[in-house]
Parts: sequence; C-alpha cells; structure tokens
Amino acid sequence: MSRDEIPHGLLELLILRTLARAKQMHGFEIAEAVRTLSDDVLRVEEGSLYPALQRLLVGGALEAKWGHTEENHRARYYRLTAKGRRQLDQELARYRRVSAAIEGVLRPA
Amino acid sequence: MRFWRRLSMLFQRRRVEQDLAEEMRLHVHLRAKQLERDGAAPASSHREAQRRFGNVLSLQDQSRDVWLFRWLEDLLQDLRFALRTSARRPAFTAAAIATIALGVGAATAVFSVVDAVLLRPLPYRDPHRVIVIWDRAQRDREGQTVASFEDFEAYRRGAELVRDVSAAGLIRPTLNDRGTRRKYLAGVVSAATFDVLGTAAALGTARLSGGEGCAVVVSHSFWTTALFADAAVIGRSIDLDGTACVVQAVMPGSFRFYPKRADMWFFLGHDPAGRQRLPYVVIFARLGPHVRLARAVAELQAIHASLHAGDDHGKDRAADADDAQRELTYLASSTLRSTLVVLFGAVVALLCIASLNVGGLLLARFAHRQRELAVRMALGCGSGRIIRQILAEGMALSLSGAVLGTCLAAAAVTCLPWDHAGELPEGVTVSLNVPVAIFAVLVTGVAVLVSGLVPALNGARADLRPSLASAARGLVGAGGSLRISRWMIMTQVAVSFVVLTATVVLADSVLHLETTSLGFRTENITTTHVDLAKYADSQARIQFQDALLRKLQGLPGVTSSAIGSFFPPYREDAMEHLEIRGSDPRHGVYDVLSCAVSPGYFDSLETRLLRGRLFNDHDRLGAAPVAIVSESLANEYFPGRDALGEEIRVEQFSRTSRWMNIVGVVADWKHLEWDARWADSRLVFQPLAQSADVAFDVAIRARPGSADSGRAIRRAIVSLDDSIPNETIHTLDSEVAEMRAYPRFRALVISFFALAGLVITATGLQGTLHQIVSRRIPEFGLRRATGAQSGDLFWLVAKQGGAPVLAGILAGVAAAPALARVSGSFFPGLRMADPAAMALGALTLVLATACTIAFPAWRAARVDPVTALREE
Repeated sequence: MSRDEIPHGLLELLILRTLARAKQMHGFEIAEAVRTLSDDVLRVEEGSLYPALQRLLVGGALEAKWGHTEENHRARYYRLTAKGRRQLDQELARYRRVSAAIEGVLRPA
Repeated sequence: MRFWRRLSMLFQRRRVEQDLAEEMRLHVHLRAKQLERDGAAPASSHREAQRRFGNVLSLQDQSRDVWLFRWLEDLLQDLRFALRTSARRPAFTAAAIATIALGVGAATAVFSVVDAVLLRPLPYRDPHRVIVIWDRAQRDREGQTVASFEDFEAYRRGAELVRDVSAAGLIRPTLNDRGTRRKYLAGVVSAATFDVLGTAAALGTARLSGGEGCAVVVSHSFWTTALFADAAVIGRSIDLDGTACVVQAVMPGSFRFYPKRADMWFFLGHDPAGRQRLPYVVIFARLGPHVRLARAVAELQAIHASLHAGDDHGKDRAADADDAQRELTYLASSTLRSTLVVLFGAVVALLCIASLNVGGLLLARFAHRQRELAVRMALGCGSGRIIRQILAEGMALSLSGAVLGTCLAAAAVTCLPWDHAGELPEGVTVSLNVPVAIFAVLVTGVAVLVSGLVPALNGARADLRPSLASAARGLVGAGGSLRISRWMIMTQVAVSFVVLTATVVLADSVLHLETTSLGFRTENITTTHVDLAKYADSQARIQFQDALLRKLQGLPGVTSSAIGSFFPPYREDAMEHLEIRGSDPRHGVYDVLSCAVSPGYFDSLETRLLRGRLFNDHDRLGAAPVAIVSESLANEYFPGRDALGEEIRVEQFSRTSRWMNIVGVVADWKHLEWDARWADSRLVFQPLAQSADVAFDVAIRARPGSADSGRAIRRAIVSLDDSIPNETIHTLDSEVAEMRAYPRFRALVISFFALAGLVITATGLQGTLHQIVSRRIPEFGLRRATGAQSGDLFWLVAKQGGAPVLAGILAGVAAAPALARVSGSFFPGLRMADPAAMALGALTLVLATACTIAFPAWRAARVDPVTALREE
C-alpha cells in the first residue's frame, strides 16, 4: 500500500481536532475519526497514533482514564484538557498561516 | 509540570508500558472485528489488522522515547560498555585510575589543610570583622605583627571606625606547684580582648571581675596538664612568679589566639607583676558596622602619623591592618601561608598533568579505534552518541580514579598526625568537611572533563571516508587526534617543567641551608635558660654567673662552658638601634642584635676572632665599657675604616646602653631569614659582667659519650640556688636541625609531587607513542621494504615524541618570568626564573622523556617488513 507521509505535527493536530468535537474517545475511535476526517487521504500507519497520543499526554494536552466500551472491552479514554484546547487553537492558527503562505507560492502568477 | 509527568511515568514504568500494550492489542482486535464485519475471513482479518497497525515493538519503542529519559538509558548502557572495554585492558585501566587517583587525592588532601588554615573562619563571633593592627616598619623588617604600646593607646583613644581596640603582649611566668617550678607562655591582654573575640569560656567567664590582684584565664591544655582538669578550678589560686593568681576561666580547646601555644592569659594590670603597659603588643580590634577595612586603615594611619610626627625614625613607619585570620596564620608561622600556596600550586599542577595524561591516552586509544567508530557511524550511529560513548569511557576511568583518590585523601587526613605538625597554628584541626567535599567534587569534575571531553570532541569530528579508506590500506594518519595528542603532551611537559624548576629552586635553598657554614659550631653543645629575677642586685647576679661557670668547667667531660643572652642559631627578631659616636643619629637603623657574653663564649662556639681581642676577666662592671662586633656590621657601619677603637651604643625598647669602645671584630654568624635563606647577622657583643642581665642561657660542650650534659647543668644550677625554675634543656644541634626542618619538609613534599608529575608525563608519552607505533607498523614495514634504514624509522618516531617535549619546555621557559613574578609576590625564596634551575629542570625532563621515547622508537626501528606486511 502506498502511503502518504504525514507532515510533522499534523497527526497531533488531527487528534486534538477530533477530541475537541467529542467528549472522550479511545484509541481505535480516534483512529477511525481521523480517517473519516481526512477523507481517507492520509493513510497513516495506524499504530503511529499511539506515540502521538503519548506525546500529547506528556505535554499535558490530553488526560486519560480507563473505562469500558459498549462491548465491555477495557479501553483507555482520552479527553482534551484546557491546555489542549489552547494548543489546538495555536496549532490551527499556525497551520492556516503556513498553508496560506504555501497557497500563495503555488498560485499561478 | 512536563518534567514531573515524565518522572512519574518513569517511576510507574511497568504500568505505563502494560497500559500501552493493552491499548494496542485492543486496537488490533477492534480493527480485525471491523474487517470481519466488512466480509473478511476471520483467519486473514487479524493478520490484515496487524499489517495496518504497523510494527508494534517499534511503535512501543517510539512511545517510550516520549517519556523516557533516553540519554540516561544511553548513559548507563555506555558506562556498561566502557566498563567491559576497560576490563579487557587491565594494565591501561589500572594505570589511568592510579594517575587520576594520585591527582585528585593529592589535591584534596592539600586542600583540606588549606581549608583548615586559610579558609575556615576563626572560632570568633563575626570572625571576618576582627582585624589585627600593626606598625608597618616593624612587620616589614622583622616579620612581627606588632606595634608599640603608645600606638595602641592612641588607637584606643582616637579611632572611631574600629571598636573594642585591645592589645596582647607576651610574658613567661613560672608556675610553682608545691616546689616544682616550670615556665609557661602567657599572653597579657587588655580587658576588652575576650569581648572582641566573642569566644565563650568553657568554664567560668573570661572577664575582669573587678578584683585588685592577679587574675588568669587558662588554656584548655594547661587546664588538663597542669591543673589536672579540675572541674572546681574556677576561683582557686595558683602560684605564678610568687604571686597568688585567681583562675577566672578555662578556654575551650578550639580557642585560637595570640601568642601561639599560649598556656594562659592575664588581663593588663593584673598579671603577676601588675604591669600597666608592655613594650610591644599585637593589637586586635573589631571593624565598626558597615566600615570597610580600607577606610579603617586610613583612619589608623592618620592617628599614627600625628602620633609619630616628631619622631626621628617616623618616615618608614605607618599603621596597617588586615583580617585577623591572615595575621594569626602569619604570627604562627610567617612561612606557613606561602608554603601552603606553593604546595597547592604544585598539586593543582599535578592534577592538570594527571587529567591531561589520561585524556591523551584515551585519545590515542580512540585513534586506534577510529575504524570501529567510522564503521559505527556509517551504520547510522549519531556523532552525539559517539561523543557520549567516548565520554563515558573517560568518565568510567576518571570517576573510579577520583573516588579512589578521595578515599586516599580521607585516609591521609584522618590518619596523619596533624596535631604535631609544628607549623600549624594552635587549635587548627585538619578534617574532612563540606568545603573539602565540594572541592573534591569540583576537582573530580575537572578531571572527568579534561580526560573525557577532549578525546570525545575529537572523536565526533572523525570523518568517515578517510578513516575507512586509510584503515583499509593500513596507513592511518589520524591527523586530528595526533595533533591534539601533541598539544596535550606539550601542556603536560610545560606544567611538569614548571613544577620541576620550582623543586630545583627549593631543593637548592635547602642544600644551601644544609651546607652553608654558619660561623659557629654547635656539635655536642647543650644549653638551658636561667632566670635570676629574684636577684635584684646586679653584683649578686654576676657572682652567680661566675660561680656557675667555674662549677661547669670543673665537670668531667666538659671541654668548654659559656654564658650568653642567647646562643645560636636564632631567628633575628630583636631589633635594636645602633648609634655611632660622632655621626648623625638619624642615620641609624633598627637592624642590629646585641648579646652579652662570658669570656669563653666565642671559644665554645669556635667563632674566629678577625681583629683586636676577645673579652677577658678584666672587662667587668667598673672597667671601661667595651664591645665586639661582627664583620658585616664593621664593614657596613665603618666602610673604608677600621671599626676598632670606635664608640657605639645600642638602643632597645627605649633603653639605651652606655657608649662602648669596639675592641674586637669576629667572623660573621648567619641567621635564618623568613624566606628560608641564611643571611649575615649584624651583631654587637657586650661583656656579660658589664651588662648583668637578669635572664641568660648557659651552655656546655661535652666530649661525645660523656654523661648526661643536661642533668649536669641542672645539678650545677641547683647546687648554687635550688629555687631557680626548671627550664627545658636542649642541644644547639637539634635547634639547627629544627630550623632546617621546615624548608626541607617543604622541598621534600614538592619534590614528591614533581616526581609524580614527571613519571606520569613520561609514562603518558610512552603510552601515546606506543599506540602510534602499533598503528603504523604496516606503514613502517612498507617503508623498510622500500629502502628505509632502521635508523630512519627510529628518528621518525623519536621526532614525533621529542617535538612536543621540546615545545613544552620552551613554553615553560617562556612562562617562567611571569610565574616568577606571581610566585615571588608571596614567596620571595621561589626564584622561578633562575636560569640554572630551569636548565636542570629541562635536563631532567629531557633525560626522563628520552628514555620513554627511545623504547617505542626502537620498536619501530626493529619492524620486520615481511611480518608487518603480512599482518595487513
């Protein structure tokens, strides 16, 4: 399967964006949401979600709590903290700035 | 916050990893379920889910990196690797550890003494505000931190920036304990002294209680030895100089004050004689709040100047003051401070050499492993990782060395008998404490950095391609690391050279102390002090002296006997003013020493008469006053004319002698200057029978093997008067030996450090060259095969080793004048720029390194082209 490299930091942004809409989600739900959100364009190696989650946890953007799924599997649920919300805003603003700049470069003269 | 989260995760490492693994398992499970729902076969769905998930182990690793302190893990791994590598080369490892241990151990041990003597605050209240005030003229010329009593009174009345001005002088009272008499050393202090210091007494209170009579504060050692640690001693009377003195207080054992090794202190006006003033005193004071020392000194100088405005000798006199700690050290021993500074310099130099040495050896070893490093870098190992690994090897070695060294230093500090090291001020205890521990850690840090960082940084610069390519050919230049090796050897040689030169200078001065003819002979002469204070009449004293000499002369085995104010050797400390009749008295300088002697004095000491005559039995009280002077005095005060027949007089403590006619000139005596050199003394001798001194020394020269001379002298004295106090009996030989002991000890210690430095430098050079030669054996084989002679190869290696040695020596020579200025400022005897000493230092280094260069060079010369090329 050919795989598009995911730009650095974008995965984190997608996770934050996903969690901002939902109350709390476990890893598989986040993976599915990211897939839908990105229209399947970003076919990420699914497991790379987990190091990203760890980074966000250590950074204090997320908090995690163990709970049970509807099928009664034990799962770790993640939710956004206040700090995570601020980080999302900053990342989005930065992303828009960068992508606008790239747009400007690519626009035919 | 982030750090704490990481740390808490690190501590719950097991749980965190289990959580992660469970999460990942769930993900794969749910994905497989979903694929099945979408119609995949159950068998393949799990495989597909795993494939889509990716490499679980690698992902777990990546997650772990997020919170793990990766470098710590790496460091531990590197250390383990370093230990394994070191264990494979036990000889190298042992040598490196021993080198660092020597450097760190010596530095820490010497620092513990420096700390105890120079850095640790005195046990006074607010110790850094206690100062000592002195007269600059007195101190410059005599090395005595004293001032006159008039000065003291003027400061006490006039000084506003310093408070609690107090004075201390010294006397020698005799304790009469049920018939046994012994002399002790006592300080006489003004009432405020103990308040200035703020040291509480161990028993009683060290304050004047208002009584009229004699009151004494005793030292802890006097209390334990002479008063048998009597707990109820306060208020008891003891007999000192025939006066009943009430014991006021016992000071604690740690109390340090002037005079050094004082047994007791009296308050001024309350000593056994009830003295109200002293000729010379050490002045202590406390700086006022927020007053800087410089301002206080300026005020004291103004007071001093107005007091001495009309003086004849006022022009080179001025008040000066400094921190009490510095001055008490100076009072205890004028050379202690400089000795410590010199020693400390030597051990720091040794530490430098040791660290550079281990660094150099590691560098050479890594140059040897360049190929291994290059391969590892080619396989993707980051250069940071390589640096860390090299650093870890250096650290493993130097840390073990430092720990061993610190243990050795601790053993030295706790086991050596510091209490008996005579030069240390009283009450100073050398011990391991927090500052010493901090110093040891710092020193270790330096050793680790120097020995590890230099090779590490160099290793990181390693360029892949040349090393790999040249390694393949077996012709390794390893230019960069060689250049640094050379620099390190050069620095070691330069430092080694400086220490060697200092050693030669000190050893030379010791040799000078040992071999110089002093102008007198001390063999088999035994002496003791006699105090005739109870003989008020001078005629009675003279009779006693005559009778004593007659008695001693008649003893079996005694070849000569004599009496004098003092016997040599002596440190020139009593400074008297010489005046010549008919010349301007203002030209006189306080630099002569007078001594009253019996007629047999010069014969006993075998001092030669140069001109005129010696004293005889006719030079008595009623006869014309006469004097004999030493040759250097005659030459200096009577240049170009004969001193015989001239009239002189001496003035000491404002007591002036009568005019005396010079009747003889004797050969010079030498005394020990404070920078440990003998110098000619300017001496004036007077007949004993014309001066009738109260206290004097008596000495006899006995044939070797005759009965106990000390006992014989004592018996002779007691047979004349059994109330005269016992004084210590000693031989002049032992006094000369004692004077020579400190310079000799100092030279011995520094030569030990110099030798250690030399050995380390030489072995380091040998090790480095050895590794270079091992690396170049194939190249040498090729050279031999293409026609090079073995002599050519020998010189090739010899030049490689010799060049940095010569460069190091040149650097040392170039630095010598600057070092001489620095060392000369605190230790005038250390003439670092002495060409002969430098030549000898250089020669020693060249010889020592030549031996160590010759061996690897010889090995290179012996390379067999066939074997060498086959090795490739």
